[in-house]
Amino acid sequence: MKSFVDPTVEFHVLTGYLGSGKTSVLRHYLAQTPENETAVIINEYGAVSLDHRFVMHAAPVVDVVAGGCLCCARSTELKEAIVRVLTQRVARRLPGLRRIILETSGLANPASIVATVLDDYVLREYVRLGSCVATVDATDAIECAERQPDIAAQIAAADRVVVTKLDLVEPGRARAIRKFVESVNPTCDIVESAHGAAVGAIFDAVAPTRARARPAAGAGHLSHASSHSMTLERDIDWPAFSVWLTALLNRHGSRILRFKSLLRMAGDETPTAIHGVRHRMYPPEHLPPGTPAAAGSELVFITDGLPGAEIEASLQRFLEYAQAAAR
Amino acid sequence: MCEVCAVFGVGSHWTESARLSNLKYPAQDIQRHRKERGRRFDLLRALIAPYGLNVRDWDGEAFCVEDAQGRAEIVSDLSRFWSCVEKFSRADLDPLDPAFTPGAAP
Repeated sequence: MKSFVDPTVEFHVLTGYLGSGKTSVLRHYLAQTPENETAVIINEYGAVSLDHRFVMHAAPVVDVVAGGCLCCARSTELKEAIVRVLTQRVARRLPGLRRIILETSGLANPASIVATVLDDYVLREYVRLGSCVATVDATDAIECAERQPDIAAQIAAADRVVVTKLDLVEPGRARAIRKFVESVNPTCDIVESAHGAAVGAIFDAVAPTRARARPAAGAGHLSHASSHSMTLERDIDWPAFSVWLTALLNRHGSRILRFKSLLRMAGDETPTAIHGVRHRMYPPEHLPPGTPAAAGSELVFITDGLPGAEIEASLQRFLEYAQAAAR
Repeated sequence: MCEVCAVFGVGSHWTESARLSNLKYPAQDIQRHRKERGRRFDLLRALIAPYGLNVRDWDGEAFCVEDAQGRAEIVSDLSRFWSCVEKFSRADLDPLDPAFTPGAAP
């Protein structure tokens, strides 16, 4: 089916723990970008929203979905809010609209939001999924993370992490928080923020090559979030890999906080980026010609207690089985 | 929706992306997609055979899971396939378990 409007409106998610500085970062971003480019949807736990009052003067459209978390119950309301924004664009009241940002508090599982967009036959014709950005409070995130698993889940799901309130901490603490974020999610882009000001275009796409985990990233200390990186030298057999990954997600998807990969497929010149959050996978993305060839396929799993070594052994075993079966 | 099998949204699952490259004309991709789909069914049949189940390609777009009693269910994609197989077999199919691959040591 041909779209009447190209799906050029990006849909970004801004998440972060309560009080971690989401609204400040969003206000600063809106002040820096051209007027009328960005519409904002705010989701709050409580029945009464306050955050929208702080951003309603900075964005042309501010919509509110209050009274529940979007992970759990409010996907219909989210769809309706997106449609309300898009309707204004189609009616040419928002001709310059380039992106919608969903600010959502306490979100632990963006998989349901991804599903809301990707599974909807109307929405996916009009919007394309952009970045997931998480704010992390430099003053207390490390201490809170062990007793609040949502913090690690948000970092794991993020394409980009904005470390906030760096003006309130010592340089040693700033280094520690960066190391902490890298230990939870070795593939995310990290932006530093002081006084609520985040440097740069925080919602711009993060290069898929970030599936190449930072080599310096060490093992994390959290019991409920650990990452495992692997490099496979062989070409990936797509039918076998997709059978294996769907079976793994079916049984363990709720414990796979994030999966990112750059796969070197048999017969392809450039790598393909495959990534997902929990049970939800994004559409495969074929990287353009000229993308530097990698030594092999690179995969990163961030899991909640699922041993990375077992995942790697399982994949190797299955690819070998499929190779033998094809002979 | 497919009018015959009443399956919604076939072909839109991430594993079914027929466009396998950035080539302008997708004919080559479609041929490759069909060939790979055939290989995928061979793998799936071997994996579920120990549970007395079979799977057929339903019109090139969906999966028809069958058991020895003649029960059959059509599912639209590979993600739904696994939950259907687990329902029919009453077993958990876990790739982390070496017994997942047929012929492997338990």
